[in-house]
Amino acid sequence: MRMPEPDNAILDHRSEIIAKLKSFVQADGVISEEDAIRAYECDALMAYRQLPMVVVLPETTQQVAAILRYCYEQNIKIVPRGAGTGLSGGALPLADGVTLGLGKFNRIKEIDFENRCVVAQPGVTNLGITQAVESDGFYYAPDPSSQIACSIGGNVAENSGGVHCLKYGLTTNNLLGLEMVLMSGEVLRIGGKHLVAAGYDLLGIITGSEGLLGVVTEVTVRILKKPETARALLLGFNSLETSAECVAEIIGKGIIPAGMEMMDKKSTLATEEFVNAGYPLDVEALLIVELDGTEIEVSHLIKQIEVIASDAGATSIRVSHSEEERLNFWSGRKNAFPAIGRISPDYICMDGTIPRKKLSFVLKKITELSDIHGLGCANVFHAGDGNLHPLILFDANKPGELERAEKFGADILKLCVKVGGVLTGEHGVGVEKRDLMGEMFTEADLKQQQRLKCAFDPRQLLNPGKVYPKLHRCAELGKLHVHRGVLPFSHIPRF
Amino acid sequence: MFIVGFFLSLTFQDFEIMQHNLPSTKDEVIQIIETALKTQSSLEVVCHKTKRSYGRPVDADQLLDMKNFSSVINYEPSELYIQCQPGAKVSDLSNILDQNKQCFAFEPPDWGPMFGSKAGSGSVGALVACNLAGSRRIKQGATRDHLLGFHAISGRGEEFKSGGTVVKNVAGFDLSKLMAGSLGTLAVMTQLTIKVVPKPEKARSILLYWPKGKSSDHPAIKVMTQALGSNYEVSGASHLPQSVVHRSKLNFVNAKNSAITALRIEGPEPSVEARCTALRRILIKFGETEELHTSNSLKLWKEISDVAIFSEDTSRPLWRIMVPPAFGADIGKKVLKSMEGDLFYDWGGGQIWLASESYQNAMVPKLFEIVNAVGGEVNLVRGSKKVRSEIDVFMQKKPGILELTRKIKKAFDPEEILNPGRMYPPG
Repeated sequence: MRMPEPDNAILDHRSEIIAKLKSFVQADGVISEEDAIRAYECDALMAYRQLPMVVVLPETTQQVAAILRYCYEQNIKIVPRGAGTGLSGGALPLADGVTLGLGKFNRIKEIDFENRCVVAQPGVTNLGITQAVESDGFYYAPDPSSQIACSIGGNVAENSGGVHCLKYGLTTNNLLGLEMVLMSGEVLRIGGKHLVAAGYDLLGIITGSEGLLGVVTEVTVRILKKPETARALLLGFNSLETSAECVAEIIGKGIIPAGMEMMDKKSTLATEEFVNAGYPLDVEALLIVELDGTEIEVSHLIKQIEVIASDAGATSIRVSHSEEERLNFWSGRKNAFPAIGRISPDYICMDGTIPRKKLSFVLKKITELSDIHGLGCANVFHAGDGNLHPLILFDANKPGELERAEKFGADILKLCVKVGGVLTGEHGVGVEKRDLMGEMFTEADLKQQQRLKCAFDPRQLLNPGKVYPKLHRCAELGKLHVHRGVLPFSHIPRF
Repeated sequence: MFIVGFFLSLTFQDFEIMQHNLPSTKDEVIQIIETALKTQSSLEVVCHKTKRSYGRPVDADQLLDMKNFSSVINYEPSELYIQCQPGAKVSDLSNILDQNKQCFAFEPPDWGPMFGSKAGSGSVGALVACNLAGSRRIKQGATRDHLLGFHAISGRGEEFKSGGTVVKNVAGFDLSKLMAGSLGTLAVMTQLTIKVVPKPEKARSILLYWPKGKSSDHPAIKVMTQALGSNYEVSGASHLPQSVVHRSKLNFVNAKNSAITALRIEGPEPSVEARCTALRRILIKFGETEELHTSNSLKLWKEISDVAIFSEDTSRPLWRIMVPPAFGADIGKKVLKSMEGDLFYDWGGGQIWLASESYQNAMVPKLFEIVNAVGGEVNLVRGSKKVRSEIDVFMQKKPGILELTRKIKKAFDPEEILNPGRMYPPG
């Protein structure tokens, strides 16, 4: 993975920079010893590693502002980092960059039940928000599978989803306000506890911007009252096609379940072996459908889905009758990744989204690609919204397998784009899919996005080398050439 | 005589002498923008002109009229999206969706009549450009939450796109969010993809008629807060004080001359019935209640979402105040103490519609001060052209925001040729 060339002029001043950073934060807030900074060399995409020049862990917005202002003046790059659970290398350090960790921003500042919101610092975990309000029967809806560890600030950076986003939306739909610091050190407050209605949607553009536009120092999120009940159905099918048809039929009948997850045979077998969830083992596809709401509504919809599933040719239908049974249905799906980890020395998790109707076509093609690349692949999907997570199985100790797995993964994502889908549904572009952005966007599309970055960060010091395959100088992007016609995506130099 | 009468019936805006560009293809749009760049002319971007009086008046040399971009490109009910050109009418799209038992979740309001235009004539492009949302905003979000992707021509004359047709998509910056609500100041949209959802099987609303006499605003906000903090999935929560109910065209609203709080429940029939019963139990303590079934419920929320009760007298200044919902009644009270007017609450108290008797310059700082104390925002939605050209109608006074707004504008439209002045005062 090529990253921007480290700037020797910056590296030559490392000790000076460290001393200056120590003047902004408490002594334990600057980490510069090699052993200690090693903990920050990667995020959850562990294939790519790089030691940062230095790590700084501020505790207040004023400290973040002072650090950013200093780095802006000195042309020092910044890599913001939440809990480091990101799957696309968005927090991969830069050799000449300061990794700005927000782990010390771990306080819930305010719980406002009347206005149904929580004001939290960005280092609070996703689950931490729910835990703070659950005694009063409330919860925070977006639930990425890493919710026990991932931070709410990281959720904003990645626009995280989760199994329940089918009904309750992504981070962007549940965010009310932000405090953020621009690279220049300027502190902005956007939105609040009200629903913003006018002006450019800064909340919307910052959500999912992968740390390229600013450093979030406070978030205000909406909370909801926990549904009265939740129940799940476990449906087995003898082909992925019939399972996909059942998904389409449920939506076609006007039902939007709280979650709808699918696993192929390989994933089902691996997870059953791992957690003994009681999954049927003679099925090619397993579908978990969860309904939540009032008791009456849930029972009513479960009856309807039982009929739909039966008509679609489900070979087994089970309905949870207790909370324990519902959680048991989920236990396999929630443990799919570690379960796959047991059947293969290594795996990489892909993350494309496709139109639901292309599901069986794409799965067939993935099987073909699996043969071509000579590597196994297990599939789990957020079936309700067409978000695929193919898990490519390989052994990093065997020469060439990592490269083959990466090639296989790239082929899957190109396929997703080709059938009308997108490169990444929820894991982000980061460094992992950076060089594939040209598959989805023209150079004009990418340049327009980068011009927006220039409005926030004209010196391109915030997380450079991520998301966009080519760094353009803002001055160059700003030039106006009047021309006609479509720009082909030419073969551009990669990092 | 006939000719004189005809001209007298035209407003100043209709009687334009500015060059009227009416493209039908995106290449023509590119050409118009390129020519504008070369000749240093600015463009006012319009479709059916129903919301032309929203925002600050545009001081442009030419008109870029997108009404010929009126096609539905693709509608895939099973994929839950509809793709269309910006000039397609919202009412036409809603009919198409309705035939497939689907709808836009964010309940697009029809703001046209508020500005004196014919009902049902607004375009999808304007809906997106203004980021509108009806009463279901509290549960389902606004247009910005449902715009999945778009194609547009920037103020540089370059075609670009963002997003796609799927909901889960984090590839690159989410420019759809930025495009929604940008009032045509960043780029000219040529294609839009909007998420759709199954139409709720049943809708019911409960009306609570408050006893006449003292103001019911504070207890009403409390009731709505309780309902929205419940797990009954309330999809509409509005309060109409006694002073405004006579303006309603609906018999069940105006007949009793009592303040009304309305709550809406949607979903499968047995669930709707059960939730209505539960909510009615809460409301009955405060006054007489009535249940509206699907058709009347629809009429009620359309009237509220369209702000129809303040549409009749289009000369009255209309303000939109967004605050943390539980503070709605406090803000309402303070506002009415400082100026004459009528108001009602939507979004559980989080959106206050205020029709003031008149406009005075002193109102702006006063309103801003009241709203700013709770961290909300206030916009002048309807006002005379003179007033709108003199003030910052969206009042983005927070430090740093206006500066960033200008930089974002320049990132898409460096020469500021698209709808100059519409979002913020020039200079």
